[in-house]
Amino acid sequence: MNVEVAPARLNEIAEKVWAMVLGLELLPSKCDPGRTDAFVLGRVTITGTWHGAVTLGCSPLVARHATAAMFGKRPNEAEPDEIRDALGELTNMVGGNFKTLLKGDCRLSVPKVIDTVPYADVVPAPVEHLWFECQGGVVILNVLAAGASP
Amino acid sequence: MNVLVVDDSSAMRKIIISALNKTELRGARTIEAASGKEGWDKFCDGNFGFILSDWNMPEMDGLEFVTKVRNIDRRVKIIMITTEGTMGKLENALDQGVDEYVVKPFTPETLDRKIKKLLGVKVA
Repeated sequence: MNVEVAPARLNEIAEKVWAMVLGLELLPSKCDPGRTDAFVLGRVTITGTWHGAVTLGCSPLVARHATAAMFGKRPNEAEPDEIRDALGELTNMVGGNFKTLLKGDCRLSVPKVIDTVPYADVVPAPVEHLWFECQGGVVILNVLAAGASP
Repeated sequence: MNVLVVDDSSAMRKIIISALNKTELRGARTIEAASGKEGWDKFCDGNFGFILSDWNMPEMDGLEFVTKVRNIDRRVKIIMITTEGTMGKLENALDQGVDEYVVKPFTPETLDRKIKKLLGVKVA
């Protein structure tokens, strides 16, 4: 990660958010780019003593399960605007909790969510990232220092 | 009692209202607002005993909303629900008139403890 925060702390944050908000288990996993070719991507930027972004990419299946858990409906009933809303809030929570680990004064943006992002844009090499499995799908958490993309 | 729930995420409003139904405020009438600006409009039109507000919102953020509310109402109880866990910023929010804060993600039990504290209900 391009920041002095141990990956184990980021694992903890992501797993806590998933468990407490969704009631779902997020299992750390090995990188496997072949698993899915499109993601729903949430992003928050952080400005201040540290500049960068936190992104949360979910394969469509996970995004539907997460949305269903938040809205109290079945995964196949999740509407596109509900998926964007749910992913935005999950990204906000992960990014906000990450921000508290940073030294100094930082400000969190409101989240933005993009549908159908290809894997290459979710994980811009050579940035490190964390992979998780959930409900048969994939979740990727990135911490991007300023200057990295997307 | 009327409770105003202000959050730009409809998913989060749903989660907050679901949690409220497991607290001392169960049965209260909840009114939703999707931004600080909408929250301010609804607050001016209603009579609220509690406000639960997000901090990080577009247009008017939670702190600006709370400041406006406190300029005209010192009585309403305000809980900020936020990912902001930095003590300096939370102290600033308390200085602006927030009564209590809950850091996301949270459990209904945590929210209930804060509500009971503000209502003066003794916790066993």
